[in-house]
Amino acid sequence: MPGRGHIQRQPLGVVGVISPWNYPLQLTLGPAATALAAGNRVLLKPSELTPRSSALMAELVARHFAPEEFHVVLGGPDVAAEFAALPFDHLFFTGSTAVGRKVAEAAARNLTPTTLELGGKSPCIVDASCTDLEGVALKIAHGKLLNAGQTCIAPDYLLLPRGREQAFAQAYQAAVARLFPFIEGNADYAAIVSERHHARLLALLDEARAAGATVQDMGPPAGGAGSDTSRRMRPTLVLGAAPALRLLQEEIFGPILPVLPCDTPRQAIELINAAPRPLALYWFGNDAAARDQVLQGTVSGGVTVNDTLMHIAHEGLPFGGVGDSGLGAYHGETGFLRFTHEKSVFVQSRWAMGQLLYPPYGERFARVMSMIRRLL
Amino acid sequence: MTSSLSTQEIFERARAASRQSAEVPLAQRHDRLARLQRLLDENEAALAAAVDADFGGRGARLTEIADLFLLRATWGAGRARAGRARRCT
Repeated sequence: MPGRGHIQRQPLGVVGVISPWNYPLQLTLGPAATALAAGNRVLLKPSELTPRSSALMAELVARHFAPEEFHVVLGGPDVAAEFAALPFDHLFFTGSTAVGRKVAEAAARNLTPTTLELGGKSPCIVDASCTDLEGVALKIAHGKLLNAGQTCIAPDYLLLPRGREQAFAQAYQAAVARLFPFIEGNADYAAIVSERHHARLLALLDEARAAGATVQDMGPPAGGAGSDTSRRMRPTLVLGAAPALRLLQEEIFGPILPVLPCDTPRQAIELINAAPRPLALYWFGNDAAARDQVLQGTVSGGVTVNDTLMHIAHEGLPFGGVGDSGLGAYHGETGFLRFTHEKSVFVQSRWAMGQLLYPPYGERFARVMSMIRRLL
Repeated sequence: MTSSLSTQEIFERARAASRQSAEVPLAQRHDRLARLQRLLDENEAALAAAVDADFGGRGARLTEIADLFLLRATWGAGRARAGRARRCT
């Protein structure tokens, strides 16, 4: 065809953002900024679990933007439900899989496209080829304990070769002490966001102990166990946890790391694939063939090899989940396009001969089609 | 200064505005991102203090690395991308 085609990128219109409490600035203003960069108007509903930062953001946004340009809506679950029911041009949600389902249902009634940034149990594999257990433990401790484990892509549980559990525990304890010389009152170590969340995490540990698992305190001596009244929860490892425990069924979202020994690399892959697809996967080791076996044999939102968390910070990589851990991705070019309509435009040429194929489909049509078939 | 309008009213205004001007010029996008950047730069300490209070303990440096660092990286790239409104095939 002598005509030309191009793609015209346009704003979607009005984008709704429902954001969580765990990173109350990054996960609110990040998607909002990307949507604004793509030319959209934004309504933002931050979490009611971080009331001070949400209220301050509402005040500051109102000071810098007209309401129809960018606006923050405050309120609890009822307000969130009303918000999700608005006929946005796109609805972007970050939060739990359970709430994500409700958001998707509400959006579907308006045929509103959604991006769902959810969670899940992100596995961390230490391969048999891993030689630097101290260095690996430091990176795992950093990824696990940043924000006290209240991170959607935190390593949720550890898979390592059977027999290396105690060596890892020693290395992990040393890593925790290096990162956080004390826990209570340490500004670098976040508290658990609420009494309810703290109580849930303590219950997970109680259930594990009651079922015969070993809970090892990984915190440094300073501060002492049990002295914490501020919800700064001491890091722990859990060994010998039974698969049916909530600890191994629910996303932990706290500074608790279950350790699961594996007899073969294949067993680690089978354990991962028996669970819902995770948001992140971490692999440590030096054996490229073993690494590729895991990369090819598992499906997760993203992967970091020989570190934790870093794939979220790479501007060239899309960030998002798959299956139960999310729908759609953002960050970088992918994020910009997520909030952009790519409109196909075809501009016809004055030399176009499309009329040769118009009805009635007689002899002329047959001759032209015969010629076209020879060319194709 | 917060709006006295209901969420529904604000949504309808935003929607109407987006339909009146489907294209948003590059200068306007850059201006919005610059305002957002200014909001953050001028209120970083207050925002970090609010997060600290919300958590019952979360230091400003932790918020700097955990929240603000990624935000700034995203915005830098976002400004560069805002102009790519049209792509030929």
